[in-house]
Amino acid sequence: MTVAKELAQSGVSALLIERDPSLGGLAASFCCKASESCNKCFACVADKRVLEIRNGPSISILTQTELTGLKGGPGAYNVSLKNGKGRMDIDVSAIVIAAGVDPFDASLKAEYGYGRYKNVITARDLDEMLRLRGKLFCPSDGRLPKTVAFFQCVGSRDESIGNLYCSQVCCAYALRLIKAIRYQYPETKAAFLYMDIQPAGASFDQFLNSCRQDKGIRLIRSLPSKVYHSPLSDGLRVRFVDPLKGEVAEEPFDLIVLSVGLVLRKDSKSLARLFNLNFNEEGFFAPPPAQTGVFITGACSGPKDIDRSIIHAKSIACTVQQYLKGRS
Amino acid sequence: MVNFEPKIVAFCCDQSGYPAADMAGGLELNFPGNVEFVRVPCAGRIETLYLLKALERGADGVLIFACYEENCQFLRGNLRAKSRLSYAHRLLEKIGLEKERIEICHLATNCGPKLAETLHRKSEQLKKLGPNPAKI
Amino acid sequence: MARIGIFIDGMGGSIPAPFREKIVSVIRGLPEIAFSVEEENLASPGALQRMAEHLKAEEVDRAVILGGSPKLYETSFNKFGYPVLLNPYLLTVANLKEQTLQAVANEEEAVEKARKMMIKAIHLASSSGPIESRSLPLTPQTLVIGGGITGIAIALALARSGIQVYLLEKGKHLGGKALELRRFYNRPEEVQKWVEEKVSEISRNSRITVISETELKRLDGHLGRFQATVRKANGTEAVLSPSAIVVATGYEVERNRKGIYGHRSFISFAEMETLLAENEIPSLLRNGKRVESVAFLLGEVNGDVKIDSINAVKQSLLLQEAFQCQTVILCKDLKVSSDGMERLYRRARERGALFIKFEEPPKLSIVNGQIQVDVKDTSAIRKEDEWPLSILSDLIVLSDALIPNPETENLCRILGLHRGNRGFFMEDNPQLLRVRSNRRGIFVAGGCRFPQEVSETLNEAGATAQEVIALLSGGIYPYDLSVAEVDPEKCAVCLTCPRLCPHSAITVEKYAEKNIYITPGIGEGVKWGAARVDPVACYGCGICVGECPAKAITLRHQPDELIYAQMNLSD
Repeated sequence: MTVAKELAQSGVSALLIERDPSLGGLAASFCCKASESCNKCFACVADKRVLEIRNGPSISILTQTELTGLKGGPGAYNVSLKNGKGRMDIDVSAIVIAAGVDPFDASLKAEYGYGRYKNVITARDLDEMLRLRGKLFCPSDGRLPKTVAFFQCVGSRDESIGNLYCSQVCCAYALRLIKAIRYQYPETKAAFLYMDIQPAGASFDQFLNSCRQDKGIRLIRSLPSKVYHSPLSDGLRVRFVDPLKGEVAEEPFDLIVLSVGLVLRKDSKSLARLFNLNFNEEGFFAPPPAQTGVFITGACSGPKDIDRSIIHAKSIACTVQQYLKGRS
Repeated sequence: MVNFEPKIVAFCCDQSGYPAADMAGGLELNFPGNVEFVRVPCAGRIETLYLLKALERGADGVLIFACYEENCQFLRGNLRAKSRLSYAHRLLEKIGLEKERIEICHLATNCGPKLAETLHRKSEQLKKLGPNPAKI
Repeated sequence: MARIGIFIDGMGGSIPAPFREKIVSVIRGLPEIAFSVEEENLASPGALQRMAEHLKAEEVDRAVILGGSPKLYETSFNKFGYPVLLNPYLLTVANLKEQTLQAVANEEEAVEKARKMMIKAIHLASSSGPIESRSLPLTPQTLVIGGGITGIAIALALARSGIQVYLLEKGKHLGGKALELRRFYNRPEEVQKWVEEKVSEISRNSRITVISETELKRLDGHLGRFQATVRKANGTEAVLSPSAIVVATGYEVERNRKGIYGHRSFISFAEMETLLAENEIPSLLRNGKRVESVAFLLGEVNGDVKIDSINAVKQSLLLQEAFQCQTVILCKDLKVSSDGMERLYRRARERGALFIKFEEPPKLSIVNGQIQVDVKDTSAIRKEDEWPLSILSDLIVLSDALIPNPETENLCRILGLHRGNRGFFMEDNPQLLRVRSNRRGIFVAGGCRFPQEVSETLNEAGATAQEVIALLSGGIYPYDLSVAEVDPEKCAVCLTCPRLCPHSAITVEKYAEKNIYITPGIGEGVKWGAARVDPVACYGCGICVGECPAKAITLRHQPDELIYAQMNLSD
C-alpha cells in the first residue's frame, strides 16, 4: 500500500491489487494498545494509511482481485487478473509484491490446545476482541479473566515445527497487549513466558522498564511445555519450569494467549511459481535480481512490524522509481 | 429529574476522536442522544475559553477526545489541551462548579468502543450531578 | 444571503429513502436553500460530476452534504477531483450515517437528531469563508548533513533521481562509523570496499558536491526558502539554499573505563573488529600473546539496541570458526530479532559458544591478573549449580554505550528540531513516520535518530530518499492557506507561540513600520516586529491559536465562530 502511495506522490501511476475485500491487510485488524500513554504499536498509523491511499490521485485500486497469469519480460509485463467472474489483462512496467504474512496456525502446537480449549486464544484473537468488542473476556463464559498467561514464540524459533526464525514482532506486540490490559483491568494479573525479549527501539527500554516495575506483570524466562484442561472446573493449568525455584511448576490460568509468529501466506506458493521467486533460508521471499523489474517488500520478505514495513516499502518505492527511470 | 438528558459537547481531535466516532457509529454502538461533536484539527486548538463558554451556553458537560500522549500528530497538542483543562478545572473550582463536568479522554482512531463507553459513562455521571446550574 | 445547495447521499442504501424524506421536508422552503438533490452514492466519480454541474447551473455559493463521514468525501474529492467552482472550505458535511442512523437506536430520536445536525450544517456553511490555494516553486536541491553510510546512500539515491545534493561532512573523509566495521552484518560485502565504491561513485557524480570539514552554523527560512550558512574549518562561510534538508549525523560511542573496566582484558567491539582483521588465521594474537577464550559482556548499557547482540554473535562465530577460540556470551536478553540472525545464533551454539542469560548483573573481580566474571545463569535448572558460575577468559568484549552525537543538541537548536529519547533526534511518535521530522522539508535518518543495524539503516536511507523525491519531484509545493495567521496589530511579541509551535513555523519578523516597537529596558533603538506564521511550514493544528494570550492568532479554516457554531448551543 505504502509503495503505491509513494510512487503516486512522485508522479508514477500505480495499480493496487488486493485479494481481500478491504485494504490494510493484517495491520488493519489491530487494536490500539495504549495504556496511560501511547505504547507505539503503530496500529493507528495503519488505519490512517488506508484512508490516505483511498485519497491518492493516481492510484487505481482493485479489491477482491487475484493474479492468475504473467506474460512478457522485464519492463513490459502483462498480468492477468481475476475479479469474481470478470477477467482482465493489464500491461505494467514493474511489479511490487507485498503479499504480507499470516499469523502462525497455533493448532499445530497441539500441546497448547488451541482450537480444543476455548480459553486458549491467539494474540490476534485477543487483538480483535479488544478492537471490535472493546473488552476482555474468557470466550468460554464471557467473564473477566483474573489471570492471563502469554506464551511467546509460538511458531517461531521452534525446530519442532520447522520455523527457525524469530518473528521479530511478537515480544513487543504481546507486551503492549499486556500493558493495555493491565491499564484497562488493573485487577487482572498477567504472566509473560518467554525466551528472550528481543525488540529494540528508541523508547522500548523505557517501556520494558515500566513492564518490569508493574507488580501485576510477571516476566518468566521459561517456555511452557503443556496446557492441561480440567473439564469439571473448565480451568486451565500450565506446566513450565519456574526459573526462580528451579523446578517444574504447574499453575492455573483463566486465559491463555499464544503469541503466534508470522508465516508466509498460504497462497504465496502460487505467487512464487508465477514470478519464479526463490525463498530465503527462513522460508520468506528472497529479493529477485534488480533487472527483472519484480520487487518484494513488506513482511513477506521477512517478518516486520508496521513501522519497519512502512520504511521498507518506502525504500523499495525509491528503488522502483530508479528502475523505471533507468529504463525510460 | 428522571427525564433529564444531559447535553454534552464533545471536542474531537480530527486525528483520533473523530475517526473513532465514525468507527463507533460504523459498529452501531449507541451514543447518548444529546451529544454535539465539534471537529477540531488538534486538541491543542481547544481554548480554555471554549470549555467555559460551552458550559455557559447550556452544555451540562464537556468532553475532549484527544490522542494518546506521544501519539499526537502535532507532537504536543494533546499535552496543551491537558494543561488548559487543568486551568479550566481551577476556574470551575473557584466558582463552585463540579470540575467533573469537563473531562479529557485519550484515544486513537481505532478506539470506537472506548469513545462510546466514555460518552455513556459521562452521561450517567452528569445525570447524577444534575443539570449545569451555570447555564444562562 | 448565502445560496446553499443541498446534496443528500443515500450511501448505497445506508440512509434509506424514507428517512431522507423525513429530514429534508423540514428545510424545503427555507429562503437560503437553492435546491436539494439526492444521490445514491455521492462518493463516486459520476455523482461528483453531476454535483459539479448542479453547482454551476444553480449558481450557489455554499453546499451542504447530508451523508456519511466528512472524511469519506474529503477522500473522494481528492481522488476524483473536486467539483469545480466551489471553494472546498464552503462545503459542509452533516454526518448522518455514523452519528445518527447508526448511533441512535430509536428511529424518531434519530430523525430528530438528524434534523438538528442538518440545521447545524446549514448554519456552518453560511458562516464559512473561502480559502485560497497557492503553490511554491521548489528547486531540486538538497542538503545532506553527515557523510556516514546513511548520508552516502541518500546522496546517491537522490542524485540518481536528478536532484542536486550538497553532502556536508564535518570530518575529512566520508564513511563515518562504518569504517570501524570490517564486514556488514548479515551481508557478504566488506564495509570498507562498499564505502570505497560508493565514495568513488560520489566523486564521479556531477550532481553531488561533497563539502568536507564543514559544519552547519545557521538556518533561516522555511521549506522552499531555506538559507543554510555553513562554515569550513578554516573559517570561510558560505550560504546554500536547498529545498530540503536531511540530517544523518550518526551516533557516538562512550566508553566506560572506570575502575575495573580499565583492566587491559577489556576491549570494545570496534577494537575486536580490528584485531580480527589484523590477525592471520588461525591464531589470534594480542600484544604477542595468544588469545584462546573470549567473553562478551552485554546488557550493562544499550538495553534497547540490537547491534551489540548481533555483533557478539557474529564475532563469536568468526572467533570459533577461524581462530578456534572458546566464546561465552553473557547477556540479559539476546536481541537477535533481525533477518537471518536466529540462524547464526543457532550455529554459534552448535559450534560450542556458551550463552548465559542473567537477571542480576554479573560480579567482576581480578584473579591472578585476569578478570573473573561471576554470573547467575537463569537457564540452569538445579539451584546449587547456578551460583557462582565463574568465567575466566583472556579477553572480555564490553559493549560501549551508544550516545547521541555531541553536536546533536546544537544542531537541534539550529534546525528547530526536537530531541527525543535519550537525547537523540526526534521523539518516538508513531504519527511521524520514522524519517520525518517536526519541520516540513527536514528529514532525519540513520543513527542520529537511533542506532541500528546497517541493513536497517540502509532501508531507512532509501525511505528518506523517497520522501525527498516525493516532495521535490513535482517542482512545486501546493498548499492552501488553511493555516494560522497572526494579526500584527494585536501581537504583543510575548514569544509564546514561537516556543509552542511544534513545527517551528513561527518567527518574529518585521511586517511594516507601524509594527515596530521600541522596548524600554532592552535598549534604545531595539526594534521588535510581530510574530509571523509561515503558511508553508504551518500544519494548521491551532495550538498557537488556543494559547495566544492576546488572541492575536486566528486559524483561517476554523475561526472561533465556526467552533461555536459546531457546539450548537444558544448564544
